[in-house]
Amino acid sequence: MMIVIFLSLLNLCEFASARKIDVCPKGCALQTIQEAVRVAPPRSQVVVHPATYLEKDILINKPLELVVSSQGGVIIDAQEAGAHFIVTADDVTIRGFELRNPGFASIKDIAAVRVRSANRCIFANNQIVNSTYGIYIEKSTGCTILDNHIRSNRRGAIESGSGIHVWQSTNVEIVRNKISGHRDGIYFEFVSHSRIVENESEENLRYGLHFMFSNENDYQRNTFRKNQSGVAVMYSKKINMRANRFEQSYGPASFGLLLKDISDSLIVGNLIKDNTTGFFVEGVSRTLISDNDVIQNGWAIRIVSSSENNTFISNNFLDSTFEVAALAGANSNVFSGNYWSRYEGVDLDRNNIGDHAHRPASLSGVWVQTIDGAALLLNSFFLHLIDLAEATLPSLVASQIVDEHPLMRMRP
Amino acid sequence: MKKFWVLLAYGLRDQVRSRWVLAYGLFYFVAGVLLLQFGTDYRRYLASMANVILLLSPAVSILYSTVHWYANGSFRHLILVQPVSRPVVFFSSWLSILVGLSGAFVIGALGGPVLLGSFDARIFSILIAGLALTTVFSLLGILWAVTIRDRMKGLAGALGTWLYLAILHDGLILGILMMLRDFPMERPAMALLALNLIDIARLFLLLQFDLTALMGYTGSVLQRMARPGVGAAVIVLGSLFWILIPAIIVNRRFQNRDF
Repeated sequence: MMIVIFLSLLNLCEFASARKIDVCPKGCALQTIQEAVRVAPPRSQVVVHPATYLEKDILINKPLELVVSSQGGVIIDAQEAGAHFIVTADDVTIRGFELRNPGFASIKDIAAVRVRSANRCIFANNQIVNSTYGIYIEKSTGCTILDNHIRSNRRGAIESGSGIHVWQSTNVEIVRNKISGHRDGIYFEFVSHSRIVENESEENLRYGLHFMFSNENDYQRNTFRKNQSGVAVMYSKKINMRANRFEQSYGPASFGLLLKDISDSLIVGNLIKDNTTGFFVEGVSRTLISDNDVIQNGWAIRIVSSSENNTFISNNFLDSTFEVAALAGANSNVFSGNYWSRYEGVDLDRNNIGDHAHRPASLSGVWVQTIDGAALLLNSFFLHLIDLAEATLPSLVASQIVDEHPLMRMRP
Repeated sequence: MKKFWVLLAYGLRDQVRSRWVLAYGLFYFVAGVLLLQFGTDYRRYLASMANVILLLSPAVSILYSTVHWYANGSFRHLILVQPVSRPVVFFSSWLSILVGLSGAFVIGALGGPVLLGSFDARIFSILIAGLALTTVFSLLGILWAVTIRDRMKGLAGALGTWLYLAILHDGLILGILMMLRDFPMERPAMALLALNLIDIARLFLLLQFDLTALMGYTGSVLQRMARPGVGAAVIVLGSLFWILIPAIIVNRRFQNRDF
């Protein structure tokens, strides 16, 4: 009996000591993370002490928790030669590392952290520097990516990848990360039931956030700034977009929010400011766009074609050069109860709704959009005259887009 | 040279007494005060002021200089029988008109912001554009007055010049762009616009105040102009071109004119 207890105690001791494995270049039993990960029993904790480790392709094929012993100071430099971590097991946590230089290859996508068919992974408080792809997740469920700082300074869109790239996964949570300098800040393809919250995605070469074929996702309170375009939502359904900021996307093909072939979505309470085009709407249907502040954009909205049954309600459109440019002929989109700073009507019955309808689409807006070089005539008297003529002779009006109930005062 | 200064001093005294110049300066002053008092923010004040200046300063400069040149014809005859060279007469007359108009413009445009304590360095862009336009259009007005004896025809010519450069030129360019809409027309359009100082000034002010995010829609040519200093250099070079060539022409015509 005693022997059994003793043995089990011993076993327990051994197990307890195995729960925590230290790694440091000098004085520890294990000098490399690679080795520690190899010998660590499943569900143990690998504690890495501050130093610079020149390692790559660390394969994690069992549930492990990798942490650092103190605040930062643990640098893994892959020297442009490969991934840092390749995760193929469930329940892996990686926390607090600085991952440098995962490198670039033209025939495969090298990411600092590569996750394949591994569920419930957690990546938190890591810094990833000079990455092609930062974190690349495929065929995984329930991963959480929290408080990471991912930045790259690769210049060309061809040799850079996404900050956080998610493919064929569900229930991913991406929270409070800062991402800059990638092709897309965050990229979703065939991803569903995921949430993207309070991230900052800046100065990416293409989009701050990009959805492809990804249904039923939710992004809230993120900031997208100085990306070529803020967010692109393409070929997706039921995307919930709330309280985000889309700012400073300048360029001939730059949009705060680019919507292409999406449906049944919600765009509520966002701030869209200082973009060449605020909303670009193409092939969008049954989507509610309400309570957004659309401020100082070149075009507040460009509706290109075949967008139907969308509702624009209770938005503020302030100081746009052009409010709406619509190429679509027939129009089944509803604009109602928005505030337009270009509206010049009166409100005799004092109910805060203008007595005349507002037509936000102007002829000059369409010209500038469709004629190359016409943007150079912006603010010229000739275009002012055209606008005046349009206001005086309604038969010239370019499109059927009408807000029958424009607000007199801004929605607070 | 002494004669030049004497004539200039006389001309300036004439300008200071002119009710038109006073009214012109007063207009900018009142417009500035009103826009600042009743406008919502400084950005909009600058945008409105830029629009007013782009429309008004060429019109007033060209019409005033034409009218003034015709009105002072007999005085000029009187001077020309004295031993004074014609270029001295021409340049002193032009400069007095220019200084009168520019002074009224600068004092008027600065008066509002300075008085209301909302002075901002960005207003210098407006001043640069306004001064360039005043210089060039006052010269163009004299060009008409020197070339055509009949003052009605001369005035009509000046008005037509303003109408063309302020409005029709842009319409023409838009027409061309529409006809050739299948081609990349941005650079040719920019070249055509560069022929017109009002357009250069308009683009310069647009870029200076970053009035519109829409400018991102246009390509590299304008982006280059948007860099600090480049826009100002372009407008100064543009107005130098516009000053030099008409000045040479007017000077020659005035010299060869048979009174």
